[in-house]
Amino acid sequence: MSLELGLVSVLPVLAPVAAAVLVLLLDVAVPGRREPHLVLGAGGLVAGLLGALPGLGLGAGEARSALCLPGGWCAYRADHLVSALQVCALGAALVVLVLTWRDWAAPGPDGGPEGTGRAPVVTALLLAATAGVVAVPASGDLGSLLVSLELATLPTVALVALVRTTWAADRRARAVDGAVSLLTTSLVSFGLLALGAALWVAATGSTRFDGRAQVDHPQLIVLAAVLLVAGLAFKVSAVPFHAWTPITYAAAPLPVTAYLATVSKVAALGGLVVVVRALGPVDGATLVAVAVLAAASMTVGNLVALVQQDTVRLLAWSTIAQAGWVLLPLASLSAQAASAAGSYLVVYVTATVLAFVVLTAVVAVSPSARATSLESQRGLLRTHPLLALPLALALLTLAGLPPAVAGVVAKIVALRPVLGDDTWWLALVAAVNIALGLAVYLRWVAVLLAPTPTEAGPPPSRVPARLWALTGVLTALLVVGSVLPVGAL
Amino acid sequence: MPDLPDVPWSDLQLPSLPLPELPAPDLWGSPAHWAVLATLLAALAGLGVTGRSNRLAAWVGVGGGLVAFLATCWQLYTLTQIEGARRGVGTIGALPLGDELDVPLRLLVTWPVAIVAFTVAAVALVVQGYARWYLWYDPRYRPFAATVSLFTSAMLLLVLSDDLLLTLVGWEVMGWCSYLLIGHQSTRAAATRAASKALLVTRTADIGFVLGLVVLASGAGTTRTSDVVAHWGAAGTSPTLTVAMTLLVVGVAGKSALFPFQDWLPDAMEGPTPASALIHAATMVAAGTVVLAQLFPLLAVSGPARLLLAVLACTTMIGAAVLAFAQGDLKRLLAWSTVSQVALMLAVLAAATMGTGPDAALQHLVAHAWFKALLFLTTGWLGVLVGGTAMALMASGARRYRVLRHRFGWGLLALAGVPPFVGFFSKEAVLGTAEAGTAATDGGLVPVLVLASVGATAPLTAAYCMRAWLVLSRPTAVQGHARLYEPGPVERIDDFFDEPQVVQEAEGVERAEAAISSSARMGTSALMLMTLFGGILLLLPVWGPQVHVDLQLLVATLLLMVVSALLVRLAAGGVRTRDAAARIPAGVSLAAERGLHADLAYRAVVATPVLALARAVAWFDDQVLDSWVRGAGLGARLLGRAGDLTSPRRATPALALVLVGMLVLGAIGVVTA
Repeated sequence: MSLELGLVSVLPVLAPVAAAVLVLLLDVAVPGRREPHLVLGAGGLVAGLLGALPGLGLGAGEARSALCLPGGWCAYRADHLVSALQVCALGAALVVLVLTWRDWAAPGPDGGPEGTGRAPVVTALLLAATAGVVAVPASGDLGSLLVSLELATLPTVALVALVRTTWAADRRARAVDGAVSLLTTSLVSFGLLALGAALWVAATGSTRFDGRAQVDHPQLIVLAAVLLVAGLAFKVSAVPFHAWTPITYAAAPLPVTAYLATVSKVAALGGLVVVVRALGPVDGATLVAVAVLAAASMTVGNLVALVQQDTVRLLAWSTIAQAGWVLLPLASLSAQAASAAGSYLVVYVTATVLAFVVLTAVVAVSPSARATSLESQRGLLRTHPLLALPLALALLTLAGLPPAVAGVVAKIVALRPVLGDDTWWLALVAAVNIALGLAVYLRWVAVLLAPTPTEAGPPPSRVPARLWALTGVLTALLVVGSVLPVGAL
Repeated sequence: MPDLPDVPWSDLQLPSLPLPELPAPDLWGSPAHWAVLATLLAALAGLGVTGRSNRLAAWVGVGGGLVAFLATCWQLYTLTQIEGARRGVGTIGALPLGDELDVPLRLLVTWPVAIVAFTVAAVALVVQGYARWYLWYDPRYRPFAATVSLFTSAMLLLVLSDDLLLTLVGWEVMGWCSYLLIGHQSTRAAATRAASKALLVTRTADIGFVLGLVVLASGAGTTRTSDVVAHWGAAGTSPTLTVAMTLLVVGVAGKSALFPFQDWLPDAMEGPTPASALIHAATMVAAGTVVLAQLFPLLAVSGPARLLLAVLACTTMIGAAVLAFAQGDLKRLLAWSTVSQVALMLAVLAAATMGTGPDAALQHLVAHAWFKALLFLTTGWLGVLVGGTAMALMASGARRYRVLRHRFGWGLLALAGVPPFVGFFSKEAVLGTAEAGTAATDGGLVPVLVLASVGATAPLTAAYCMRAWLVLSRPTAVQGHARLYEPGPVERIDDFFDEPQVVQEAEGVERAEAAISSSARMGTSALMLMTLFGGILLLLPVWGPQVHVDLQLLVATLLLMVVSALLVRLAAGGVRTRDAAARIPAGVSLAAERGLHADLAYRAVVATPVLALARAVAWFDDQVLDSWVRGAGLGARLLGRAGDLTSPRRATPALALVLVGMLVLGAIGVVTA
């Protein structure tokens, strides 16, 4: 039995992992430095990104495989959709790294050891989590799926917990709370995943996702799929596995929140796509469980987001609502559904990352302590038009309202499989949620457009150049996506 | 009375003379195109390129009118050169609407149509020249001139159209333009109210017009008027045709101010005088006559539509003539006379048979255009001199300003239908047609009704014309004083310029002529000439089927007119202002001035119920439908708050939630499995 390696194809995963190892080695070699680690991490992410890019050009049915057995089965298999998800995840991780650069590179009090844990540690954690995220959608069997999912999840727990030591004690305690919440939920979910995996093996007699494996017990495989979906639903923050999301988002540092809201979601969707594709034999059936999750997520997420007063919490609940939209097409098991979910996720990630970048910039310029509250952004369009306009664009994309055509197209693409499947109740719920979503995001946009409050605060500080650059690039992406909407991946 | 013989109309007509074979260069397009396009382009240019220059706007407006006028003259000449005197031309080509409906968008020129177009273009040209003087200091002269051009273009399009769609376009554009022209002085509440009223009333009636055209076109499968007429004419009388023509008659009644739509037209006097002259003389109110004349073969076979038209027109004809007598304002008197005269045109359409054809209506349209434009423009001129058009101000106008004397006199004589003015000939044609209709149908209801009404209207018209003339030609105060202090048989040297009367007359002519521009004055002179000699146009041997002029009836009518005029003279005798209407009780006079309170009727019958319905719908929308929407918003917010309050803040309840979710999903999995 010989194994075909094909390491070039695995580069998107290998590069971050190798970078993580190198970061740790570098720390041993030259202790006490910060910037080189970050540079090395960024290099790893860029290398992974470059490695994943060729996958975007793959046609239908083509895939870049690695770790293949002679029978044709491969443990790693990245086709067009998987590559797009990988590019998306690596790009978002890169943005998060840039966002957090100043924070992680800053020395601690008195110029001593840095405040945020230690730069090499957090960089390595970020790289490891990203490697897991990138590996999930490409996994070819249950084992690699479970391992890469855990690799994607556990480092984020540490990232949430490792806040700056200069923060107030209660703030740090809240961060630990959030980390614990994330950890416990992820562990329970892992239990569910393991159970689902066991049932899967019992039903098919194999751990591989061949797609064409003989199904011994069709009833069992549906149950297994439901459990697998339930396990993954925690990561995508679908109701009722969402409870950790607002807690953790509000507790974690802003860049880490951005990471959780974007990169982690890619892992969740990647896992779901893998499961859905493996369920190919029962094609055509509507997975009621996914439909229920989707409907509950968008409704609860939007309703609660409607009353939030803090932008981060609002984004947290918006993430829950958007999770419903990502799950929506998967309610009908088909290849088209998977790519519809993928394209929705890409648009969602781009818009959400942009929102977080702008939020970071607003926090950077705003001297007030409660800079993330919705009220503090009143009149942002007058004071910082170049921040408010991209933010409004991102929000309109999430709402799916022109001029953000990218968001509209994404919503249409996500709805199409449902309509094609004649699942009218789900389509109806989705339609109601489009209206609710408009209310959620336009509420924020209205605050941005409102007249500036009269009281003159202390003069705002400058927005760092790297944030300008990120805002520009992401806005350009959304604008291009709106001018030339690509539709489904 | 001696037994007078009938005179065939052809005996009156001019002999057919061969016209010289002028070299006729073949212009690009046909004169019909030129006439419509020149005015349309003048309208666009007047709005677009004249900038802030009144002078340029006047050049554009008058120039467009002149080109259209020359084109219609040229069109008359080309018709003499065409065998059969019938020329159809295309416009922008047929609309690609598939096989269901053929929309060729063609124009068609025949003799009556060409003469009407000539009249329209001539009156429009005069009005443009007049408006350049009358509104020279008006800050909104430029839009006015452009609107007049557009209005003319729409009327010419309607007259020349051989396509129901083009007819509709012209019809609607005229409706909107009339709104703009009447409401020209938009800062005055009365003007905007009159404009809105005209628009609302005519558009309400237009519902019938549009529906009628749609039925006709859809039944025939084409919008080409001649094909529509051929199609329905071949099919004979049918309920569908009757319904369509009845609807059409309703639409025409609205635009032509027939009862019960009559009240918008006197109010439209709020517009500037040139606009009134244009709307009332040749264009909008007469448009219905043109359309019904084009569709005459269909009207002739739809009995109920004819009856409706006859009843409405006869009621309006007599009622408006009576009301005209009681008006305290010369412009409103002319407005009511327009209502009456247009009803006359439409009544003759109802009375005409296929044997006589609709030409008498068009002849009266042409005649009416000349003398009514003359009267309006002269009234406007006098109004500028004396500062208003109320009868009290106008009194003695024709004496103080002798230059106006012939204009008013000839215009009123033509309006009354006294020979040899143009109105006489057209009214004879009308009478002859009505009589022929009576003879052809053996005393059918419609022709008899029309004949009786026309006969009754003639003395009424003579009465109000006489009244107006008596007021206008009242001796001035100076003349009165001169007569009072007539010196006895004193020998004196005859010094011409010592006579106060002569001095005043010279002054009057001087002032009147100084007030007006030469082009405006020339325009009214041309109208005056046409009022006198326009009969020639009506006697051209190109008008359709012949009628007989019953000399007995003619003499009787003229006698009636003389009698009524004398009665008016008698009634005016003891009144200081020589206004016969002063004999009318004040209450009646006031009611007549307010159009017998038709406004109140409109409000009670139409406006109030419609508004009440609108309010009910708005209330339903606001209170019932919207409350669901508002409730949904409130409900969503409440649910959100509840969700926010119940969502876990710590890890433990979050875990409980996860377990519940797991159980639920597991149950779903088991059930679906």
